Amino acid sequence: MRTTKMLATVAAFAVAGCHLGTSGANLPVANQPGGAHVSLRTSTRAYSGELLAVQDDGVIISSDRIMFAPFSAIVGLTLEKMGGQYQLRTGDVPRGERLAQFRAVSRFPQGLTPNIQSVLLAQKSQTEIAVIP
Amino acid sequence: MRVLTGLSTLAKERDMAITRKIVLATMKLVLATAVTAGGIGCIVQNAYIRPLDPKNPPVEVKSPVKAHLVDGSTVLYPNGVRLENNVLVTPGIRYQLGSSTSVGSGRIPIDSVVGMEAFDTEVNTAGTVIMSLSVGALATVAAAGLAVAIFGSCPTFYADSAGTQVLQAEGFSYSIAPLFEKRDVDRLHLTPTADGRVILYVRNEALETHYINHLELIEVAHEPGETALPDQQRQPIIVSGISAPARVRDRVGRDLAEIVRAPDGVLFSSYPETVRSVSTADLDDYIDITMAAPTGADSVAVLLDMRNSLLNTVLLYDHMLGAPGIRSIDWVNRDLDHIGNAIEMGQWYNSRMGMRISVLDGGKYRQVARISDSGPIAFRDNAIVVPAIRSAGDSVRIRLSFIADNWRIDAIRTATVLRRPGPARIVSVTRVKMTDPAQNGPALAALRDADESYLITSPGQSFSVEFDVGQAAPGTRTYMLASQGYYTEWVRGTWIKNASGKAFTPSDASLVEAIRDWRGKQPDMENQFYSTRISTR
Repeated sequence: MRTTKMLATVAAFAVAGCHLGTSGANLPVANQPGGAHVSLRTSTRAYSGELLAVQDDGVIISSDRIMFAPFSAIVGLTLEKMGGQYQLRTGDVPRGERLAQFRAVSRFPQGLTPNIQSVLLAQKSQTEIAVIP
Repeated sequence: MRVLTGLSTLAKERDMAITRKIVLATMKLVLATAVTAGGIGCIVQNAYIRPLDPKNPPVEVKSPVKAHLVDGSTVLYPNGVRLENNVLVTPGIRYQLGSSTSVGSGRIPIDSVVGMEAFDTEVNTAGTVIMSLSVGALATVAAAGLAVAIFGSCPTFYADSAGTQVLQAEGFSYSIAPLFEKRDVDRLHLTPTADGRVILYVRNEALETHYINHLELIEVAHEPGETALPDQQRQPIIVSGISAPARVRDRVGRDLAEIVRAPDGVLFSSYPETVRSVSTADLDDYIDITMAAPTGADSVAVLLDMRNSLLNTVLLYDHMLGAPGIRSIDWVNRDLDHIGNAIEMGQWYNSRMGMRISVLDGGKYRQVARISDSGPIAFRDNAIVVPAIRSAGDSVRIRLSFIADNWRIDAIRTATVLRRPGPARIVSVTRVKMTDPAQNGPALAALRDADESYLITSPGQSFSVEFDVGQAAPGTRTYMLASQGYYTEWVRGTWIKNASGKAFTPSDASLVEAIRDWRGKQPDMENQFYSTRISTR
């Protein structure tokens, strides 16, 4: 019976004395104001920084500059300590719930309003967001 | 032949579902107790949308919460937050835009908040194969583009027809909490592929999390020219001798013959005056059907092709979930997870919603069957089997009663020749194809049995299921989809913002309020509802 098997499995894990999986309270983004730490690669180089916002066509990150990486340029993206579902590979363009999932762990899930964008750019002495080719 | 009618099978299925949930809840309690007592030290866990305490208004979120403010600030509530009169009153840690230095948050009006996330943990006892929301977005934000969508209610099933996916069914409508998990049976209108497969595309097009427990096909063998349909107990029945009723009129005496003659997209809806005049003393509309009494048969069938109107959706969205606002999370996740509350809610809902079928017997209509609401998206074919009790003029007179404007009916026909098929062949899911092929195996395992293992999908997700049905002569097989599960609605930011704070009470007064509300918003809502499906991938 599946129920019995399930309980047995839970009990077996119990004896092993471990926690499997992620606790919500331990997610990095739950304990600090910033977005998740992102590492991404394009065909020519790698970038890392804070995930600021997620748009329909790409992500905005804060590294040495404020940069926009279109999904079409990304060959690999991971969010640190967020689990396997927060990864993108070549050609991945998240939509619907998956897109919302990425947004929810960014600094600004609501997107960059003009005010937010101007403050962030001023901090980096930029006049516009750099686009990763 | 004699065809028995009644609700025993449905009741049995419901009882079994409740029993299973009680067992599961007990297991979770045992597990939680053991963990608390230190008896065991290891659990499988996931981050998820946290529950709230329903007995302690104002609402209190005990897990960590992050709030995003209109001005770009971010506020952390490491120990949760409390909402009082639309104000977040718990002291939080506020980070101004562009600053890494924190200050006290003070009290924050909910109007200043564009989105909030709650971070929590659950014990994964159910062997969930997909945790669709690893971080729960409590009220994530209009900017996500989702808050405008109102398309709702349960998974939708499509089949390929000449390169186009055609809607076939919607599963377990209005099963809005675990205790309301139910099994639906829908007739499919499709032809297997040349190599003997039935392929269905399952979509989550709503702002809901779907918990799909079980899918299987029921194959009904019959002669060419016969029609196989689910009856009111969702059991297959084969009918022939189909014709239009001799007479079909609604409560105000309108002749509906042309409207319900055939499934042609011309739909019955309740007469406006009938809807306008509802009160707690009289909520109903009805349709009276007269058919010629058959010779030598003690049962006849009324064939209905219909779907719900959006009245039910107004009731669910605006009154059950919307009006209480953020407290509706408590209501769904906690209140309805208690047997007593669920039974009270279920009894009220079943006594009012759906459709009741009566037969004129000795000058009075006697209820002989009831069918549940089936959802506002897909039309459903039903064969309602009723005793052929003769009335004046050698006729059988049947009444369909329902809450005014709860149904859109495309066709009403009658059948005088009925037979039960032999033992139906059950075809289990053979293959599941997820977006991530690595999930195909676990997803298949989750769907093959009605157990504690669920395939969970979130808005925008879709997958396909395949059934190897083999070859059969044309016109000799009808397939019905059995689907079992439940779903939970996502609480929209607009609901929280516009909430009256009034908790939903299952009562006729609430229903009258919902009907009046529905009358006011019907045209706009219908336009918006059917144009705001969330695109799937």
